[in-house]
This record gives sequence, structure tokens and C-alpha cells, in this order.
Amino acid sequence: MMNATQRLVLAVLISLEISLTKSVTLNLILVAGALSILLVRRQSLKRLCLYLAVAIIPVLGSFWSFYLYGSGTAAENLHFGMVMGSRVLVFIFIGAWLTLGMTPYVLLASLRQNLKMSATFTYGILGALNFLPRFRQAFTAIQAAGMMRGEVLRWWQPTLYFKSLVHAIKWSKNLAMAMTSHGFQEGANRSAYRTYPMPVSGWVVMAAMMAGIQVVLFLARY
Amino acid sequence: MALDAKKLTVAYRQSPIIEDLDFTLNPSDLTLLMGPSGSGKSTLLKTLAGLYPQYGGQVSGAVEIAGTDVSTMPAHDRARQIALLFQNPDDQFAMPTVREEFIFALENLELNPAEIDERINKALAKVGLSDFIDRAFVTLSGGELQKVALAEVLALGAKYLLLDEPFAAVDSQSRAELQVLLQQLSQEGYGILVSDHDPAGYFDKIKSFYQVKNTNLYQVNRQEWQQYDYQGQIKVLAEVGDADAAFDMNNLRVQNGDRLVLNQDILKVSRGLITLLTGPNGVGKSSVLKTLAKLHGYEGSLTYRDQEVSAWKKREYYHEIGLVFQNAADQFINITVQEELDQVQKSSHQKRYWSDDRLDQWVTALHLNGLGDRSVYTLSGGQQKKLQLLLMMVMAPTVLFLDEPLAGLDEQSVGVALDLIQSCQKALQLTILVVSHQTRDLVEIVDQHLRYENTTIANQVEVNL
Repeated sequence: MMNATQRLVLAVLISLEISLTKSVTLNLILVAGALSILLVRRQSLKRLCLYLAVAIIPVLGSFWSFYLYGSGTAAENLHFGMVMGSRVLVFIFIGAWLTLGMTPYVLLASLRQNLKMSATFTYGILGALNFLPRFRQAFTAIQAAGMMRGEVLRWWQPTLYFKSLVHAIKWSKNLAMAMTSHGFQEGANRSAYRTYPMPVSGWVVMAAMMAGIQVVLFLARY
Repeated sequence: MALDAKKLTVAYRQSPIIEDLDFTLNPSDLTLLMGPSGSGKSTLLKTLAGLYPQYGGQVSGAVEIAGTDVSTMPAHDRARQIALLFQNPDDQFAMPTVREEFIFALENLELNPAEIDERINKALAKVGLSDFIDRAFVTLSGGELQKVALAEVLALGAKYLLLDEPFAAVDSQSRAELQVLLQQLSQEGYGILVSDHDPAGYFDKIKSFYQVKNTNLYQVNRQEWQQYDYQGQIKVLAEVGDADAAFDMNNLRVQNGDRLVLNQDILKVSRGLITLLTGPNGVGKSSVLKTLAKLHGYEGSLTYRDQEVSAWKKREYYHEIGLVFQNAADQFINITVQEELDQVQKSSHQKRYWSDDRLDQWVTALHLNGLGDRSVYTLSGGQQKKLQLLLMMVMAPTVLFLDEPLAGLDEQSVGVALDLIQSCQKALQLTILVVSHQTRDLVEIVDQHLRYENTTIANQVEVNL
């Protein structure tokens, strides 16, 4: 129905909408909606539990801080605490919906085609994602190099980050050379092996969603 | 039509790496370029491929194909003409899978999807990896990665192929297969220039052979090729008596990715001696050294001082052992040369031995004097290697692993570096294990030789030079 770009646009619109409104009802409806899509699309239970585990501290944290330390009446504070707590939950589940069955490659490629995002940026990000596993190895080697010199480098010490940066700069230069050597030129025209069209149905769904949200906001009392 | 270098000079920070070079690579050429690590092979190939000066170095003179300067060609035109295969196979792919990588490259040439599919299939078939189209790079071996890299540049349509030590991480069987493939490609009309520091398997296939020496290339006459085929030349080391073991291996297995690189029954590494470990490219020497340095996992048993290496606490282990990394910059933890020297002198395990005078003496002997305020990252490759070696010699842990410690050093520096290693080892009774291709230099100071072939290491008194 919606392609990756449209999904991102909708996710951003919903996030903006709930950031500017204070309806617990709307937030809970959105969470329930996202959750049911995740269940219907057979998201693994382990993943869902992970999302909940990630959510629990920020949700309770935002709720308690506004409930206990808010400046309004007890009822107002309870309401605002609920709004903030459920808002965090919406962010997490909208994020989960956005990434459901989507790879960074598809998202970035669609953004590049649909929104004319720069190819250099797109492939730079993809390259950086490929570096992540190597980064962990480099980190261990840097710490070992320190210990061989009688220095224990802790995670808060700048040396560790400086050295990591040296590695990152070297890798990025190598990657840039490899890309150039394979014919990539900044700003040059490229063909598209796959296309990521934005179907009309996607816009219709998006409009319906936003209209629905307005209706809920109009009707909901809490 | 040919690839021509005319009066080509390439320099880093004013010091020339290649000077005033005239060189031609013709279609159907298969040319081997030899020279020690750090002699400028990579720099030359990157310049010929048009990547320098865009990515570094100061270049004068020209590299041309049919009269057009390669460094000014748009990248997508250049890729149809000339391609570079990188030394480290991990460094050359922007995408996670074979298919995505090929699509990325062929989109750069503005090809339509049907043509992209056709080129991918043809190129993968050529290197015999048609089934690999949907494989992720992390699951491929070094040899497979280089074959995919080769297929990628064939798909791009390049006619001149430059390969920069392409077999550094490739096992010997894949190496032989790739060499045959290169010969076939040259017979089909591709112009191929391959750099390597190991001549094994080339001499029945190549058309010409150059040595990199003193910032230029020297063509070696066919009659003299045999001299470079070190296969025959050996030196026999004196037998050493029974020394105590520093390390004991027992049924030790080491994997590199999916490949088993070491399957060692029983072996000891002697204490208080200099031991040289040699073996063909890609056999797994670096993985073994990393395993000994507790930077790589293993199965089976590997003990240091009767305790399993995996059971040693990192801090205590690295108090005892040190690794001189292949890449010198990995060794540095401070910014300036003086800070580095001060740090090791302060933390040295042999403070009494490393007096100010002695340190000054070696700094001067290695021509590192007067560089105190320089950032270690702006030193030349050779200076970095010398400084790195000195730092670890001053630290003087009980055991030192040296990974290619002479790479990129000129003849005079090699002599001083060997002196430094030998005198410290003798005076402080260090245990040293060296991995190096420069066996002809090292054989002068080593006590013992371990030969590593096909997943096993064995004691051997003969050293191939």
C-alpha cells in the first residue's frame, strides 16, 4: 500500500501530531493499532518483548516525573503523566511499525528516489552500517594496544575515541576510493535497477489516517 | 591503445615515492610488479588507477589511456577502462551482498535493469561463482571475495586490471586458481598488472616482470627470473638445544571466518629465543599471531606459562606480552613522538636497561631524532614502523610478537632495526616470535624457524629465502 518513503512521512506526521496534542485516548489507539499490525504481520514475539523492555523505563520514568512533580492539580498531573508515558510508547511502536520488514537499504534507496536525497549521503550511511562489526574489533585492539603499553583505556577516555576516529577516517577513505574505482561520481547521473514508486493508495491511506486522528481528537475527552 | 605513465612522480609530504617513471601496460600484458612492502607499489597502482591525486599524494607527469589523462576522467568513464583490486578485500565493497554491490556499480554506468542482470550473470560465471549472487560478503572467504571483486570490475567493462597484492588474505589453492584466471583474461586481451611480494606461481604465466626499487621500476630480463624464484634458495639454521616452552599448543584450532586456518597437534614456542614463523600468503599467520596475542578466539588448548591463554586476565596477560602490529599506527596511543617516547620510558618493564642515554642512542640510530614535536600520524610509513618497534622494545615485555616489523624500511634501517631487536633480546632474555616475508634479512638474527603450511606448523631448520 505505502512505500518506504510514505511510511516514513506518515510516521513523522503522527509523531508531530502526538507531540502537539494531549490525548491519552489517541495515543492508546495508535499503540493498539501499531501493535495489531505487528501481530498480524507476524512480528516475532521475542522482538515484541524487546520493544516492551526498551519502552518500560522511559514510559514509567516520564509518567512518574510528570505525575509526582507536575505543577497542576492531582488530576491534571495524572493526565499529563499518562499523556507523556503513552507518548513514549507511541514513538516506540510507530518506530517498530516503520522498520517492520524494511531494510535500511530499501528505506535509503526510496528516500533517494522519491525525495531526491543525495546518493553520496545514501551510500555513505550504508557503508557506515557495514563498518559496525569491524568497529567492535577495532575497539578491542585499541584497548589491547593500550594495555601492552601499561595503560588501561576506559570507555570514558578520549584516547579511545581519538583512535577509533583514526580508524573510521581510514576506512571511510578506503571505501570512498573503492566507490570511485567502481564508477561512482558525486552528482553524476545513475540509473535505477529497482524503482520505488509512491502509490496513490499510500497517500489515500495516509490522508485517511490523519483524518481519523482528527476525529479521535475531536471526540476524545481524555 | 595502452595504459601509459609518462614522467610520473608521486610524492607524500614532499618525499617522492615514485619518481620520473615511464611505464606502459599493453592489452594482453600480464605483468608482475615485485618489491618489499612499503616500497610504493600501492601508491603506484592507485595513481595508475586515477585515484591519486584525488585521494592523496602529489602527482606530476601523466597517466593516459589513448591520450586521455585518467585522473581527469569522470569516475564512470574511468571505470569502463581501468580497475583496481584492493589489497584488503573487506575494503572494496560498499554494499552488504554480492547482488547489491554489482547493482550499485552498474547503476553508476547508467545501465538499464536488463543489461545489469546480464552483466552480473556473465561476470560471475566467468569467475565460477554464479551461485554466489545472493551471498552476503561476511560469509565469503578471502579468495571468494577477491574473485567477486574481479568479477565486479569485469562487469564494469574495464580493460586494464590493476591488482594490489590481491592474494594477501587468500589461501594457496584460491591463489593458484586466481592466477590461472588472470592468465586467461590476459589471453583474452585484458592488460593486467599485479603487485605481489611473493613470486610463487607467476613465472610460467607472466609476460614481463618489474622490480620496484629506489622510487622507480626496473624490468627484469627473463633469464634472471629464476633468481627471484626463491623456492630453491634456502639457509639452514643451527640446531638449538632443548629450550623451555613459553607457549604450548595442544590440538589447537583457529578459524578465520568460516575457514579453519590452524589445526595444530602439539607444538611449543621456545622461551628466550627469536623464532621466525613463515608460510605462504593467506595461510593464517596473522590469525595465529592474533590468537597468541589474545585478540582472536580459538578451540583446543593454548597455554602460556602453563595457564590457558583464554583464562588469563587481559591486564595481566598484556603485562607479559606485547604485539608489534602490522599497521604501525595501531600501536600509538599519544600524539607526538616525544609523548610516545616519554610514555614508554615511564612504563617500561626494564627501566634500568632503558637509560636516557641508551634511548637517545637508538633514537639517533633510527634517524628519529629531531622529530619530537611531530605528530606520530604525520610521520612517513618507514618512520612509523621504526618508532613503533622502538616503543615496544623499550616496553620490553617478556614476550614480543612482531608482525612484519621490517615492512617499508630501507636497507640501512633494516640493519638498525635488526640490531635493535637482537641486542634487546640478548640483553633482556626476551622471547620473540616474528612473522615476516623479509626472511633473507631476518634469518641473520633468528634462532629457530617454524614453517606454517596447510593448517599446521612444524619446526624446520631450513628457511626459504
